[in-house]
Amino acid sequence: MSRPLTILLLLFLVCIPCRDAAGQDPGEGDRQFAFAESLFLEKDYFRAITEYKRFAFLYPGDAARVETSRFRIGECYFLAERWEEAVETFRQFVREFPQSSRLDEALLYMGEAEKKRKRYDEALSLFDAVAERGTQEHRNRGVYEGALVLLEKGDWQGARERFLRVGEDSPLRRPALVYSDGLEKEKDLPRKDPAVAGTLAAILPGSGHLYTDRPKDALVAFLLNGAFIWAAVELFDDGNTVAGAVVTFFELGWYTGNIYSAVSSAHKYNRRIREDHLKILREQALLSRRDGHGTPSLRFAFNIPF
Amino acid sequence: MEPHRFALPSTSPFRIPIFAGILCLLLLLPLPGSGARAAGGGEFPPWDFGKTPASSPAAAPEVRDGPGPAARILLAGLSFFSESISRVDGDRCPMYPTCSAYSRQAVRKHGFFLGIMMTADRLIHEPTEMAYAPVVLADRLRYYDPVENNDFWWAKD
Repeated sequence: MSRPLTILLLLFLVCIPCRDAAGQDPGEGDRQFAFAESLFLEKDYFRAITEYKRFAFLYPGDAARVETSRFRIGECYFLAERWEEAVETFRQFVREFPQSSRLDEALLYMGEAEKKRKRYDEALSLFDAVAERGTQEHRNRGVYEGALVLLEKGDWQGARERFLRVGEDSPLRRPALVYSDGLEKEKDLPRKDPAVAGTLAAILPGSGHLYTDRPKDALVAFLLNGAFIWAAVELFDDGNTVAGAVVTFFELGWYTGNIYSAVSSAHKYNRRIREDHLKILREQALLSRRDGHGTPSLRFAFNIPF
Repeated sequence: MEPHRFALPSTSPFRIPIFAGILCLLLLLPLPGSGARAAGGGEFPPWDFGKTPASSPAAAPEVRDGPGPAARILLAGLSFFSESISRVDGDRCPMYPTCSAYSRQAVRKHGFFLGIMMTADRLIHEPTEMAYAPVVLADRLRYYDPVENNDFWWAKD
């Protein structure tokens, strides 16, 4: 073989790997993105984030898929329940792509993540933003999700008013009505007055617990206080002043603890009633959401508490 | 007479393996550190790579003002109870945190008087609370009743 031909052949062989390394293969980007998507579908979110980041780094010219990658990274964090990172990623997305068609979705994700972090005011302002600026369906979702935030905050009246603002043509209208009807019944829920419970416990230890449907606790409180008061009286009567003072000191702990416990029991009772009511509402709302478009149907729901 | 010097001949077959061995050792030097960092017993999962581990001094929570003298005496008494008396007397508390641990937490969080009141409340409400509290696996199955479950209606965390 002649020398120039050998050199040419060598140069050609050396250049072959350079072609791939330069990323000239038009199918490489597709494969890279498809790989990231497959990891996302497999719920391997941590690796999917890396692959989406790799795609955005290697193919910055592919604007549409870079935008999708950035959005998906936020979704990955959200689905992996990394709320803080999800909020930060979606915030960057909103900053980077202010004209994106996914802007409302990003704001909704941010709001949901903030709600999970129990940062209710931040969540509410994000849902409000969607309710003001989004498409019709996103507006309804913003209103609905905002109402759920108010529910988490304990503002039932505010939540009810907001649920009623969900548009009539929205698929969320039916669960919103379930919530608003249920929340209206709040005033009919049985309640225990903490002040009454505390006063009763102060007058007769144990009676406060009896008022809050805790007969076992009532018996314990009554026997403990009764025994210590009796012991203190007997000791003072027998002239054992020091021993009587010591027992009285302990009795003061039991007595004040009994009042505190009765008041706390009333609060716990009210909380439990509200939570149970809310749990039923959530289940009903979920069922109505899964239901068809107003078609009458027979449904069964099974509930297994554990 | 010239002293005898030990030297490997330039053509020694040992020279390259020795050099390669030293090189391998040098390359492996950083591994124990990074290995320990990556396998930090769950404290440093891949999601948190690049973040400061929570157990490091930099991430230590801010220390509040310590308890007062009366609370300190009470805490010492509670420690004595749980470490000396309870070990002999036996573990009978079905709740989590256990009654003495709960009492220590309440005293640390709310001080002497409220701590005593909340301890008495815990001992009184134990029978009924077991019907509502979730069961958790601590050293054994216990009913979960933290301080936050009993001060939620007035304390701001």
